[in-house]
Amino acid sequence: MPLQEVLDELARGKSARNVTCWRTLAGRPARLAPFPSWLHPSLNAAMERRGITSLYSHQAQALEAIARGENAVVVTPTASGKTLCYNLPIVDHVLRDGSDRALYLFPTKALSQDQLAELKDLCGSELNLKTYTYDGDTPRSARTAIRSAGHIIVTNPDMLHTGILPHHTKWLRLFQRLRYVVIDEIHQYRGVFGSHLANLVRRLKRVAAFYGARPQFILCSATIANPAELASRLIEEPVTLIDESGAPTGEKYFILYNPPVVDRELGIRRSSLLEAADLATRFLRAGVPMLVFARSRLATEVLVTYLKRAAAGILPGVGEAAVRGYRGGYLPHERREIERGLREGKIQAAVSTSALELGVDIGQLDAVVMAGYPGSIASAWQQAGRAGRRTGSSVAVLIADSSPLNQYLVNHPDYFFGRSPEHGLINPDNPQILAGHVKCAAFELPFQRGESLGAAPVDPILEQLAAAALVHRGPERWHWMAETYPAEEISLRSASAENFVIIDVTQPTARAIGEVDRFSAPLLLHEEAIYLHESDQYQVEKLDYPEKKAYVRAVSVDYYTDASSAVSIKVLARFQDDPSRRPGRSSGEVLVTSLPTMFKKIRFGTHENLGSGPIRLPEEQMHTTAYWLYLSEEAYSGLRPEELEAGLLGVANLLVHIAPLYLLCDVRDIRSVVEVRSPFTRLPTVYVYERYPGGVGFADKLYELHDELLAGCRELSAACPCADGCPSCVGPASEVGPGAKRATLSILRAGSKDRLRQLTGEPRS
Amino acid sequence: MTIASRPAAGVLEEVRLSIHHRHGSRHLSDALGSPAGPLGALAGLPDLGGRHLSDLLFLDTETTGLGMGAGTLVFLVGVGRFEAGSFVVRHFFLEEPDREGDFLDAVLDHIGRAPGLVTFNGRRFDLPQLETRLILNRRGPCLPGISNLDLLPVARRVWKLRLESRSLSSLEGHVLGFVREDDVPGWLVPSFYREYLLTGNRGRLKPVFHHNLRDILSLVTLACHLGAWADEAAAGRPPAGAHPLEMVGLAHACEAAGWGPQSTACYGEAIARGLDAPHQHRTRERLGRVYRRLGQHDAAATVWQQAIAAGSPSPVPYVELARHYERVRGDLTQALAVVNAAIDRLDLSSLQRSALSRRAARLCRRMGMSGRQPAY
Ligand SMILES: [Zn+2]
Repeated sequence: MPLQEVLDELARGKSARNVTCWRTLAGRPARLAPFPSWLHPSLNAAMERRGITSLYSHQAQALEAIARGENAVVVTPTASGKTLCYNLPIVDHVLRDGSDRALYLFPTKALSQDQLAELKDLCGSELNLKTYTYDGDTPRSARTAIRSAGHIIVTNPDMLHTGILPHHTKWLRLFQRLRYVVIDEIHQYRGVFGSHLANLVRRLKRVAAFYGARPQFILCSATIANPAELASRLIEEPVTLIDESGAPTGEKYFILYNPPVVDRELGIRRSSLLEAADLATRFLRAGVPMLVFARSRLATEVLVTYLKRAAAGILPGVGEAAVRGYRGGYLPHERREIERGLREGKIQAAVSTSALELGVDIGQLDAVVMAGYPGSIASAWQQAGRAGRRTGSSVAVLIADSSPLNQYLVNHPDYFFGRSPEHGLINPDNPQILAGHVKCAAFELPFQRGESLGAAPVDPILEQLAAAALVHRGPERWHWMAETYPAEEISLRSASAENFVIIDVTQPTARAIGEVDRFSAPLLLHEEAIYLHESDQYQVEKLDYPEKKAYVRAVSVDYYTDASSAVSIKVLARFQDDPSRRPGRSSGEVLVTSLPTMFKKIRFGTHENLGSGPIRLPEEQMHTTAYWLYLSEEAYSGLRPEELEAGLLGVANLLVHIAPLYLLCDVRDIRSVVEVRSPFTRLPTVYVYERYPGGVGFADKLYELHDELLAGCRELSAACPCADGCPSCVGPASEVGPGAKRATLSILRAGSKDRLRQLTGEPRS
Repeated sequence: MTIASRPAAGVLEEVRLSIHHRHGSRHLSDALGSPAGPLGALAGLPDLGGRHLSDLLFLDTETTGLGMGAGTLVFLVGVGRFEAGSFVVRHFFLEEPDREGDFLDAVLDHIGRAPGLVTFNGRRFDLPQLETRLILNRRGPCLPGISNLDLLPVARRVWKLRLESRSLSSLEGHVLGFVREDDVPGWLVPSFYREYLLTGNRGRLKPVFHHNLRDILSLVTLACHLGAWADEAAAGRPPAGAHPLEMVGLAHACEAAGWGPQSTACYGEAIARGLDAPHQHRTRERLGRVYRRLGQHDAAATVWQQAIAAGSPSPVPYVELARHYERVRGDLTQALAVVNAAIDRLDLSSLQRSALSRRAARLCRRMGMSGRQPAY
């Protein structure tokens, strides 16, 4: 069998030494359950027509929980039939009572389109069920009919936020009979986006309650550490967790692969992209159908080009057509065509960006190659899940790049294969996010005195809005009185209203493609910065600082930019403190002042520095939350001042890179500052602060995870083969200073010895 | 004009004008004898037959935002009505948003029994906005049952060619002979109400009330103006005072309302009164098509011939005339001659040229010939 040949070669050939882990995940037969007796006969018939004669156990459990009236969160792997978990009970209900309504929320328009196709397929033409997507692309002429007649409305959070809730009187029929709300992909709703979503749900429930409806929620998530907690925080109600998949799986190999070191001194490894291309070529040659995931649009293009060329040589007759890019911006029918090609074997390899979700059915593929860790364990499993046969074996290969997080993962497979450590965190009560949604909610319905928005009391916020003449305080209620349209001013993807708008001027007609919050703007949008949007690269041509506009042009380069700034931090309030730990830990509210200084161009994959330039922009201030650790005197007494500083920088680097293992966040969501002698702690201190004003809960979680984080930092730097620091661990010596690795380890080891002493009860000398 | 304060529940102010009051170039009394039926029919409202414009209520609202949405308050509803020798405008005013329910009850009570409303953009703005408020106060939806004679869509059609802007103030200046002095611009209105809420000083809203009053008076005279034209057009008499471009607009409005014969009378009259060449050509195209749809094929053919004789640069009259010869008269030779004439005479795009050539070739095939032949 062809797959086996490639695997044998990988296990025994010269690249075998690059494999850091080879796991065999045993296959599992299906666990089936009969359709519930109450299922509507036409649904039974529809299922039979599709050749489905029974349910998987998790589907049956979901149906039961929903039938009992409970909110449910379903956590199951890719391609385990999760959509039936909500489509069956909802379609069943609507078939019985055609005046009831359901609202589906998907994070992107593309997913909404997929869902609509799925629903239409399930309902067919004989079930009289009206399902529509409602988003920015919905023609104006169709909207009135959708509002009044749609049984199931499929939309996205942004549309609910600006298009539906502010106009709820036009959606009377929907809200009066809103029976179910489906929120899929909730692992994507974390951090700022998740905090916004929780407030959006508060507004949705408030408007529904006005019309006398109290919807039941059905949520779905990829595997994360806390799906039930995240779900119940999002909807502020108890949820029933369903997380044991009954779908069958074949045997699967999971391989972690680390490209070889090409420069030991600098710690530079061979490009993960080239390794991925080599490996994919081997699969291509063996005729193994596969998906390749790359981390950027550019990397995708490079891989497509490489593989097309390889295919032309290997597969005469079929050639280049066997390899296809699978990019964002494709229309649903183009995606369907590629998926069909994969299913039918006409296409042998599709190369996709990590950012892109795949449609519901791409058939059974034998191999997935990931060029670089996709940023979270949850999405790595989702991508790996694209390979998998119900019977027979499949393989997923994760090829690490040289960033510390990638390196940590390939060298610590237990993290990967153990229970997911990543927590989806949100903070719906973040003051800025909450205040924005209080405005929107006041626009939607007047607030009664003493009313709250979900769990959050809002009178104090309304007092402030009244002082700013945005709401009117009546004898009993607060009324929106400004001319503005608050939902338009609030982007669900960023925390602050004071955003910089990014304008793409590549085409003759310029268009806004995104926003960046004010505090981050100087670092992300300085002139010459490479701005990434949905894995497309843009270069900033001009930053109009007073007007808060950045003009960008599409480019294709092999580097990204990383800006540094002189950051000072001031502790405003300490929430938690624990000096008994070594190092000590704290969390609290801080004021961060950032003056951008310069930027570097860094090559993808190898993380080489390709050059730098100055940034001349004013400083920005931000209130946020932070976690910090501080050294006891004995922990650093043996270090010279410059060694101490290098060591602190090393710890900071490691912390920022390790943290995303525990928080569902991006490396960019948190930043660090070190102080050799902090004015607040009066000790050497490393701060990790949240990059969003007010914070979304990362700082508290880091405080909680203090010991595990430090242990991770220690293992990563100790295991790194470099001589004295490299981009894969504490940072290159040229940047953090000579002796950084030793100093870092000394700081971290002091902690562990101390901890050991504490644990064993041995007295400190 | 007399002004009464708080004459009834929910009404802050009641302005009573003599029906002889002059607003621009008309008197309010013009509405008394004007039948509402034709204008109603022109606006797609068939149930006003037998009514006069003076039986209707003239309604205009002021809101706290220029956009729509649940957070925009209607704070002033002005309703004008003819009552025994007077025209009375009542200003329903939202003194305190907390008591919006009472305010809406007073408005509903007043407008609910009327045979119909007259508005300017009421279909898309005033009434949906009021409906939103009614729903939010658990009193709606209840407005779909009220007939609303919205003048905006008709005015848009009638003055499309004649005026650059069809806003109420533009119509006032160009049609109704009324010039607003020291008026509040519409976009500033919301800020006046905000200021009232902040200060509690109703006196500051005087300019807004005045603005609203003038809107309502303009509604009356605009309805009279359009009503008179609709009445004449309905009777097949193109109104004497209309500019040729207004006549084209009126014809267009008739056409949109399904008044075929009336629209042909207006199109024809517009051409007779003199249009510049481009408008003349376009108007003939419309006129010919209406005749065709009405089944008046000879009249249509005459129009196409006139258009060709007048030197129309467009292939449309040629194609239409060729079609007429081919399908109505069965005269393929004539049809081919017309198509060939178009190919010879006109300055055509390559797309138009190839379409005409295909048509000619098809005619040739039907005649049993091949290729392009001279017509005899
Ligand atoms: Zn290293």
